Amino acid sequence: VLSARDQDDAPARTRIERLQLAQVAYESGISGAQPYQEVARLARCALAGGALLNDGATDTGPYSAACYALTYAGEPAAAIAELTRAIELSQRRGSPVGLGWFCLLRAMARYLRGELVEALADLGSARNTYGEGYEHGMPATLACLALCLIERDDPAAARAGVAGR
Amino acid sequence: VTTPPPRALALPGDEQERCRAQPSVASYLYALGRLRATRGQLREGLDTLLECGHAARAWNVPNPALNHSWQSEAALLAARLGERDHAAELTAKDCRLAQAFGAPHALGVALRAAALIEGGKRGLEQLTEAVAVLDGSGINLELARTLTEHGAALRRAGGRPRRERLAGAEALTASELRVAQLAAQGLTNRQIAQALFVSIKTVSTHLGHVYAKLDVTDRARLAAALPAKQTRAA
Repeated sequence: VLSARDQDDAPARTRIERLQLAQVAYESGISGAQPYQEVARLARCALAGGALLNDGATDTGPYSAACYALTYAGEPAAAIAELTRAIELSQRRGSPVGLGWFCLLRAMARYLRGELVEALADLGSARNTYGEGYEHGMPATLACLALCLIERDDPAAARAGVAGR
Repeated sequence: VTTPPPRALALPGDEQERCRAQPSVASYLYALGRLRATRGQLREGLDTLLECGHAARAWNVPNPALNHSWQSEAALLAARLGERDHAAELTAKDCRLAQAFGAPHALGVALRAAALIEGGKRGLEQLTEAVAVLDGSGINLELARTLTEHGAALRRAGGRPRRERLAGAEALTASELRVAQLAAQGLTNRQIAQALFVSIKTVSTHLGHVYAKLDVTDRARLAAALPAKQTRAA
């Protein structure tokens, strides 16, 4: 599948292909083993215009991995658009865990773009889901919250933020 | 995966354990390091960022684009603490890794840190390169930080701040532009005053400034003197 993917920008056609590409994009991103344009291309192919999101009603891992890779491979605006779709889907499904996780990922992309107020709003939504089983995302949420507040020159609030208060 | 002991974590016990078992422990330590540095605790901030580096290595995330470029931030703190060799080592590693991946975000951050530590003419060149890398990338937060440092470096190098524009369409204030746009569409001063809920005298004053800045003598020439998109914006 992957060798056939060389230089191919077309969206992945099957669920298995999308899952594989999401994993490769993520691992290539964190290791830095491939240039960022290649990581972004793999992530876009994996996301497949929303198909990957619709693949997994319960497992958001591959979709999150692809969005995360896309964000840090220099395309945070595209990741925001994707994640907005995911947040809307979570709201329709009544999934607070999905909502919290996707809000955190969107906040990270917004932070990169300097959209600090919007990022803080997303982080607020993410924190509100802690009681719904979303504790997994807490360290990253607190970290992003603190960074946003530092950039807004509010170290006192940032300090309270990293302490989880 | 072996994670570092969470000495720097400020969370209560249960939360610490949960945090320690996740790759995002590196993000948490990075934020905590930045926060400590912001509060003037340079040594503690540096130690926390180095701990962030241990966590990033433990979770096999060497790419600076995905580990917050912790080495560049740590390099700046090391330099402020007088540890020049340590700073140079950290920034050299981050630059090498950022160049290999190539993403504007990490590359811009690494170049900026290297520039601030290097200083002088070479530093100014690196800051100029960092601005070029980030410009148009949409990574606006780092672009803003880099532009600020670039401006400061230019001033240190003897450059002068750009003079405020006094003539041309770019010199118009928002109020003057709105009046000019309506006048260019053929509205009379009375009609403009009614449209903008201001007095006729205010419209006359704005138009006088507009004529002077655009170097025109009557409203018939206004449309040609305004850029096309500004005429349409009305």
